[in-house]
Amino acid sequence: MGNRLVRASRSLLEAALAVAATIAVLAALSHVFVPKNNQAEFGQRDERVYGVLGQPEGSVEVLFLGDSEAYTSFSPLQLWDERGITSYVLGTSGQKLCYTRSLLGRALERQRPRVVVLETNCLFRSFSVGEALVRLAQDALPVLEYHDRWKSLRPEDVLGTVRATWTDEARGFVGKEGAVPADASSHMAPSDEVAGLPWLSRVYLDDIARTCERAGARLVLVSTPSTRNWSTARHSRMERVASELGVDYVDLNVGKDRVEIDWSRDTYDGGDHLNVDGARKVTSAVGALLARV
Amino acid sequence: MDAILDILDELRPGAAFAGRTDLVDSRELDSLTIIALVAELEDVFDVVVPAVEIVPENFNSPEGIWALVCRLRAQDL
Amino acid sequence: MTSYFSPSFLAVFLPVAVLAYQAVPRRARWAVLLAASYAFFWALSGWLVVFVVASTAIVWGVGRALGAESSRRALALAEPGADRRAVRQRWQGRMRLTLAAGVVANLAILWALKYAGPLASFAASLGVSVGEPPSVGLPIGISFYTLQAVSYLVDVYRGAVVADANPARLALFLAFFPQIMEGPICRYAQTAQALWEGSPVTARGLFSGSARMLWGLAKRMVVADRLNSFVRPVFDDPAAYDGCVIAVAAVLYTLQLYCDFSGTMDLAVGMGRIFGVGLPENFRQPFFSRTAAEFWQRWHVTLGAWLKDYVFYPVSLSAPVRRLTGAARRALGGRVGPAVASGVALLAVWLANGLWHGAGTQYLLFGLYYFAVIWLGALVAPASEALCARLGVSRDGALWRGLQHARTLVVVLVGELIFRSASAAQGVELLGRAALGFRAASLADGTVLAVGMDAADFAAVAVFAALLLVVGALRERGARPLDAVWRRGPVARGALCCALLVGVVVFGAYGAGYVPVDPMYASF
Repeated sequence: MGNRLVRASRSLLEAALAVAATIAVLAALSHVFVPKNNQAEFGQRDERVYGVLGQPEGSVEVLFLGDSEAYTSFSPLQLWDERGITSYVLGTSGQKLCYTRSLLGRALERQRPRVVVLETNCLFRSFSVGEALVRLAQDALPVLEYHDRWKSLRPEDVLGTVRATWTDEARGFVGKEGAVPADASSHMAPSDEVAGLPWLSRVYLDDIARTCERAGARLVLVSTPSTRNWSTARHSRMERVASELGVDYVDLNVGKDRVEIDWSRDTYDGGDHLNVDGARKVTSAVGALLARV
Repeated sequence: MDAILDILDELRPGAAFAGRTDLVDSRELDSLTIIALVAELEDVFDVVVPAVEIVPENFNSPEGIWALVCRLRAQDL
Repeated sequence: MTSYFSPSFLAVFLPVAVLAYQAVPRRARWAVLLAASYAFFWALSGWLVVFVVASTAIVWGVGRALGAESSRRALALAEPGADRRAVRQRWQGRMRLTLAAGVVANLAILWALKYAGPLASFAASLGVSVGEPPSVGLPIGISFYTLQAVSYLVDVYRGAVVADANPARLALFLAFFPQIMEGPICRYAQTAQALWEGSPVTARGLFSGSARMLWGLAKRMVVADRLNSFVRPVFDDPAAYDGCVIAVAAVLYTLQLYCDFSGTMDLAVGMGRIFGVGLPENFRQPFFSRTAAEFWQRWHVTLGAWLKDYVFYPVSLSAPVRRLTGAARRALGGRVGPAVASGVALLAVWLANGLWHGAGTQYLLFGLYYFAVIWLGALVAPASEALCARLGVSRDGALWRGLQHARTLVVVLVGELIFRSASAAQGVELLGRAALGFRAASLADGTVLAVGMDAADFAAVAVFAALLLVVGALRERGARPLDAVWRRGPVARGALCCALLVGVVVFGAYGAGYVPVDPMYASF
């Protein structure tokens, strides 16, 4: 019996050592594979949002998080012009909340924002436990995300240090030109329904809220105007979530915070996203709100 | 027993069968050859080989084939 | 969780299953495996799990009925003065009916779920309306577990195994999660008892299982998934590419399918080893084959063996075919005669093989193609042997063997080109274009590099394919690489696993820039 126990623990120890060695190798490779500057030509993924790393330390007052709704609606340059507020948009297409969490963490390494605005559309995009685990693993071992760079490694990838010398001119904002009218006849029609929120989104939202609190930033949930993506059912869900979390919730589609969007002219894809005209109105409204908090 | 070796030799000329124990496993006897062999055995020994008997253990060696034939003849009585 | 390759399966589901299996007392381990198997099934197919439960219930009931009939037959045979021949015949009739009921019920479920829809739309395309069959989707692995169910019933009928009174053991035999998705197609005698026993996880099983799984992951993620970015665009829109690209795509698809399917099998066999269950091998270095017939004894081995045992021999030994064989022998002699007559059974096997993959005409053509190749091979074998003897050509010389390998490779490539096509007509068309429209210049002028794989991708595939070739050659010589590493001690073991995992992480075709690929045989 004792002998068997010794053998088993020896095997376990060997296996644990093999796992530890593998992780050590992957960690070492991560230093090689991680892009050496925050630009696409260095292999940086989503360079537009990673441009935040090129901002001077402690210079960003407001961070905008979310998916394409965020980067087509909030314009940091306009916000600076009108209100003198510095900001950056960390929105990417189809962003899932696990990635939102990672991007927020990266931005907070060098910035101490006063307010973090989370656009609410991405909260309803479900993702699996597997995706969340992959995201965590990628953050811990960047070689998992940047492994394909074996094709383009250069000597400086082995020897050089990681820098961030670049930033996006529009601070993460993407202005869309052109207009395709939307049918807004039933937009925000009254309803008793309450939309379901994926449970994993809730877990990550709680974590984002705690992170903001620790960083001394005020979290604000904002729903930008969209006839395709937003509804009364989602509004009702967000109101409940916001009150449970004890954070502010602002819906620009309806009620006292409603922004006057001309749905025949202010959207470039039939009500899915706003164009530059819509973004101008939203940014002005958000600027007014930010000036108050 | 020698009859078995003669039959095998006729079906696969040139191959050595005596003393082998891996005829099926080494693919010396493929399924088509086995069917020809079964037809020959049924003819020569007046037995009926059912599908259930066509397993490697019965066909891997000349001795196994001979044992199968003996068993089938005894069963039939 | 959508397959064995999902991170949540590899990082959560499997480790939890292994830990739970090891943590509970031995007599309860089957329950852990069964629960994990049904949870896996549920995660992939939802409520369609009722179909595997239904098949299990049918197989259990019919197996019991067959078992009861065979013991009553034994009693009747043992009675003094019984007319043994008459008793046997009487009971054979009854048992055949019982067996047929069980087999038909299982095949009917498979038919209704897998073939009724495509056949109805095929009929509709001919202008015949047969009504739209209800579409409920396809339970994961139905083509595989149905074959296991049928083989169990036939084995009970034949007396090769004893009918199992325990429905849980049968359920586990049919649904064991490492093999449910793509096989290997196991026989009751191979796995049922081992699954039930709950042997403990050992250090050796854990090592050889994990290493085998990593090897499979490498095959699939480094080679198969990378090749997908070449193969998929070509077969999605073959009109956009010249004959040379199509020929290259046929080669790469064959390699992709091999790495995808055999890689998944490495995972299955590896997981089996961790749980102390020896699943049968599905691949034995198929590209080292000298004939098409041999290829099919080395490629998807368990399907070939199933078709041989439950289609080829029964058809060959059925009364009408026996009569045909007898007549052919009298007319053509003891060698050629049976070869001619075996055409009937071979046709049955290859139609079954083709259509098992699906109801498409390309699968029908694929089956008929191999039927023709293998039957002709059997028919000309005596003549070609005689000719070689006359000319003094050694059939075991290097040159002859080389020619055989090359010919078999071409036969296989043609088969896979048909297999991957969207229809039989497209298969023939692509074959014609690959053969007649082949311009060697396209290989050199960058056309091939513009499809979807760059030079680095080709290099990665080439290096790994060379590694596969070396390991394959070692195994052909009887080497067992994992055993050798195990004997070398803990450092070698750890180094091997670490190297494989790091290789997969760095050179795997996953993440941004790659389209995730479902395991290819899961849809059959």
